[in-house]
Amino acid sequence: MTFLADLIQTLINGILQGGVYAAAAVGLSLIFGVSGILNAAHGELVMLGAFATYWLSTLYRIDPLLTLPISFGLLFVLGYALQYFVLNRTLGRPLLLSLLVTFGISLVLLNVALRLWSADYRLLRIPYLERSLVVGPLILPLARVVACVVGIGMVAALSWLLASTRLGRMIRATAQDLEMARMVGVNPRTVYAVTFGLGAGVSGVAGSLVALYAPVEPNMGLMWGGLTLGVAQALTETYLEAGLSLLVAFALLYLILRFMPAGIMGKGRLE
Amino acid sequence: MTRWIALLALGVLLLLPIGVGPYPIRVATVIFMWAALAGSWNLLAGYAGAVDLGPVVYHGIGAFVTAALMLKLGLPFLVSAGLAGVVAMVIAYAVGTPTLRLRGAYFAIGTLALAESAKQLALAWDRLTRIPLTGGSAGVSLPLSAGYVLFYYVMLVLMAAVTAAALWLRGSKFGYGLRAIAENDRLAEASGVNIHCLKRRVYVASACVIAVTGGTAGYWLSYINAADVFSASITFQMVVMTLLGGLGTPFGPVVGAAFLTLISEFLGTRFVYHYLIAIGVIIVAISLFAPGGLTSIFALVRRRTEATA
Repeated sequence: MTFLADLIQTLINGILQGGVYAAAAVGLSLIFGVSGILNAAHGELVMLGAFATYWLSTLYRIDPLLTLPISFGLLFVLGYALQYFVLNRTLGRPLLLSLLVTFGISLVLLNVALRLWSADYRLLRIPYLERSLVVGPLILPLARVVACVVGIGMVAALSWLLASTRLGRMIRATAQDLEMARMVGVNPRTVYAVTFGLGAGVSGVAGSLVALYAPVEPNMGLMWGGLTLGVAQALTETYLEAGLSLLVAFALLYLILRFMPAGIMGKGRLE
Repeated sequence: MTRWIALLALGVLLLLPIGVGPYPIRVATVIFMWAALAGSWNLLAGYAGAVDLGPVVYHGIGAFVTAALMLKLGLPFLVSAGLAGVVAMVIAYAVGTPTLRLRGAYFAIGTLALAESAKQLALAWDRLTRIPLTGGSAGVSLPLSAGYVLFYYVMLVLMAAVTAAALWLRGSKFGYGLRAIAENDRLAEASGVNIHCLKRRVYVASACVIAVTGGTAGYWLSYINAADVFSASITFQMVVMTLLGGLGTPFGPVVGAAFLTLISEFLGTRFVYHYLIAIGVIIVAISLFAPGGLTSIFALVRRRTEATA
């Protein structure tokens, strides 16, 4: 019985973590899928979102959950500006150039954050999220449940936006066939800027969600490379040892890439 | 012409330790080390178009194998580093065979995952296998080294070897095969280029140079730690230096390594807290205004002067 309860608890921990990972990863994959930009500054965008929530609720006493849309808005503007003024200049250049540019941007963002806010760990105190839901033998920390639900909700909202709105159609058209999209009156530069804004906004909210339950610091972006491996990581942490969880996570990623190149669901785009 | 300038520069660099003190030699050694690492990465990414985000695997393997051979078997440094290169080649052959079949972004992410797994494996190695090799997170200390001039020459030889290999690729049939793969691998395969065999040869050869460089760097620092020698930031620095200098050019990695090392040294001593911000801005500026890298500026200037002459 305890074995079963432990297993279910572990799976739930993994899923709760996975919801936030998914939110962080979707921003990276949206930008890569539409503009072909390998965004090396992704982790820094997540970090900035976390700091937006931290400072807005610490300095201005805004409820942390209400800071999520503000965090999205701030990061959207930053992302839009970065694409419009900087990254649009790399269009038509080799793919790797965008990696170099975003690496430079990540250096600037990370070190500006370190100068402004130091490398201290800062933890938000949110009394009403510090409780846990107890279901029989299972314990669900409320903050993580909220983060997971909001994260998954945001991924769903983004797929709705891409599937069913005029803007979504413009974005998908640009991703599928740049020349044809241009012919029917889509301005790719604006679409790329909006896409980067959306990707940055979503990544920022993912950072804000992390700030609900974990400490915030400038270097936190390093581990948010955008990997949807929550379950595997939590399982290994319980059944093997903490140090091996990343080994299993990355080994799993390698195996998926090697043997299921269209993704676990088999619906991805193949090169 | 370029070759004669390169040979002249090599001659000057060979005699340099006679004339200058330890500090410039140390900076030069750092430049050669990064030029060798970035140059090895350039062979695969710049010529065969395969973007490897896990070359640091062989840097780490080189460092630990060199350390183990020196400490456990008492072998001399140069023999240990050479054997570490051989070990890395064997591992690269085994790893490269399945991995090089991945294409484009999948190869990049796959190798990144591979490097991170290798790091975690190295950190857990001693506990898992009960064979002491990596020292876990505590790392391994090496005997204090013989003097800085040895490292200067080893790194210089490594850099020269990689640059010579890149120059050879520029005009050889092997190099044309690689470039055909970079342009269009399906078409290259259809025209009779054995793409897997060619890519694997480059992958294995660059793994050897990276491992020897890693082994030398480990002995130079006299302390190695799995988290550092397998760090993804080493990979990123190799990529950034190559792109800054010029991807797919023989001297690009050398120019990129020299530029980034010198500017970090110059700004780092003057603006201790802000220099990384400045370097970020410089990287963005160069990639926007000279997207072909710094060597493309030299090429442009030379074409202009030839046109006016």
